[in-house]
Amino acid sequence: MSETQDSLVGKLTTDRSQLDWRPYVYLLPAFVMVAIFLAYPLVDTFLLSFQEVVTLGGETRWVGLDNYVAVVTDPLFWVAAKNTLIFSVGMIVLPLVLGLGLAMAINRGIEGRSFLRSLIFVPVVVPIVVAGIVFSWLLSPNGLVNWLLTTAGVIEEPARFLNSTTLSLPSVMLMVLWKRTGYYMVILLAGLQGLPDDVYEAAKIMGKSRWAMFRHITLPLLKPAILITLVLGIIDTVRAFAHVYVMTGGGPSNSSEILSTHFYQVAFGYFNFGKGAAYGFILFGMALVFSTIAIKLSGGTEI
Amino acid sequence: MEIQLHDITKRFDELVAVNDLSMTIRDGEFLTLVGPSGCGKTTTLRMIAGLETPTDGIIEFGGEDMTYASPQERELAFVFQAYALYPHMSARKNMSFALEHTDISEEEIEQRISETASMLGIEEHLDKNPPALSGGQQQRVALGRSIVRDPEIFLLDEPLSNLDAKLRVKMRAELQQLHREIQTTTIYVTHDQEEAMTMSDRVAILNNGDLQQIDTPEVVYSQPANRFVAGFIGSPSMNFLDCRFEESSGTIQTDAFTIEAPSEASGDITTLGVRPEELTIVPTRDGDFSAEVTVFEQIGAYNIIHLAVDGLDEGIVAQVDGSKHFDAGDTVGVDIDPKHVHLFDANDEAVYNPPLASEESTALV
Repeated sequence: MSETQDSLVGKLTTDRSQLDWRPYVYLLPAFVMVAIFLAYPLVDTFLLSFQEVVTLGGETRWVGLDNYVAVVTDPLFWVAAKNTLIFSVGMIVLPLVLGLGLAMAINRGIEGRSFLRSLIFVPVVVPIVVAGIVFSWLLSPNGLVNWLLTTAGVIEEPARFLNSTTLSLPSVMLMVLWKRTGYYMVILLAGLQGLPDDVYEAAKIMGKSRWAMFRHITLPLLKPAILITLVLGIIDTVRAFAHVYVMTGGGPSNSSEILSTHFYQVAFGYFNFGKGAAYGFILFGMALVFSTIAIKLSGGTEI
Repeated sequence: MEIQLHDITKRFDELVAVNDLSMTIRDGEFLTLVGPSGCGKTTTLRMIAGLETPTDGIIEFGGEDMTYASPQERELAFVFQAYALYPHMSARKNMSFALEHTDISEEEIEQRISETASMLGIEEHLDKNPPALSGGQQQRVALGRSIVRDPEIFLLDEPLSNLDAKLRVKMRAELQQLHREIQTTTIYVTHDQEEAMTMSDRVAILNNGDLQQIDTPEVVYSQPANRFVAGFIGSPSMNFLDCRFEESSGTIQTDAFTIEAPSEASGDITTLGVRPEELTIVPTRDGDFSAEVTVFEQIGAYNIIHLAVDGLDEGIVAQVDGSKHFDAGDTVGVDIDPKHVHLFDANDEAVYNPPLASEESTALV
């Protein structure tokens, strides 16, 4: 009896010592890639954010939290933060509302819906730099928009959209709205098409108004899709760079400076790599915090 | 509320879903629309609900023209096949949602929900959301949502088809009891003839958009109007055999056997119909004809045998007592009671049906 037990234990131990290494070998290529291109830069940048780069050759010294303090005490950081908040209206709120409206119109089954859907989606495929250049032309003093507005008599002199401290950021937001509406629309349309007809028919039989159906059925059932667009929007807003860089470069006099363009200026304009690394981690933290807040507020955890 | 359909036709482009349908659903009646897929039963129900508009014809509720009225003006309740519950609302909220923003007070709503919930046995589940409920419980919430509105008319579209077989039989009985309690005009759509037969006051059988017959379950079973109804109602299905009627000898002749014709038989008879339960298996020498058992199906309470008959292209099916056992290859005699046959003409219309079982038994008393 005890002999059998002993031999059983012995068998188990030998089995454990002869670890099957094959799965780990299969995982190795992916693991190496992640380590080189994700884990190493992440850790290295994190360490860099606590150092000052003394020479371009790479000589550094530890400065503790100085870089983080430098970022948040920089008045331009707060200008950029405020601008980013305004910018997020063009990145998230407006295209979300417009995209939902269009998605609902298309889902209702209007004439030529597949053509319309493609048309609205075209801007999404246009590279952001190309879109920025095209909108710069359209909004230039002798561009199409100014020509239309002056011809129609709305304004007398051509407006300098991109060189105005009040109009430069809204101009960029106009391009962003044009570009993102279709993106949100397809996500929301996919969500709408997944909703069953019978819940609406049930509401119709109960005599619910169209607003009540939208408020109590469409919105709650579309929550997962809306949440996706919201979180993608927040992350993209924090990362948005070329949008502003191509059209205004953040100017005039920082009136359209957003966090990422300011971050670029700090890190690569002034070659302040330590402060840039700290800046990067602050942006990363912001995206994380706001996304989490969005998910928590909507009461859902599933994306 | 009495519902009348006058010459209702519904076309979807080229497809005629419902063709010139007229019927009256009596106040308080439980009527079932039954037929195979695509027969127009659900379309008919949706037209009564106001979810579809008829291409032609008039729908009246209690004598009032409702053909183009909106669903809410019709004051009816509709139970959907997939329940159509709101997954983001609790069962209670699903039930109260219909009554919110009407002139019904909150206490009244509360009162109705608790009464309905106890009638349906879902009190403990009121605070759960539908995804957390079983199929049967969701079904009850869907029913409850309709009942709290106290509708004039109840429309149910295959409400049991998503439930498993055991629960279906249970809910069948509960729905009947529910109808007895609330006494509301109910129209029930199903493709399952057994549901139609067991639950209804009257059954309307549809095929390809045409009404085939509308009558009590007993009549559609014993006296089907045509071959379609005869084949659709009853399980296993009626046996149909090509036949000739010899008026001189008063006999029905098939390729395999000859039986005495019922005395009422007359005219151009081309098809003989016999229900499996009306065939009697006897020793070979006593039968009208003999047959070979090809398949024996043990059911329990009764058993089913498939028979091959010399001279007939198709096999026939007989239902026998549960105590009787046969093996494939056995040769048996089959006896047909000439009174319990169905005879159809070349247009598949019934020309002879046996008397109703209820009338027969009263005659015996």
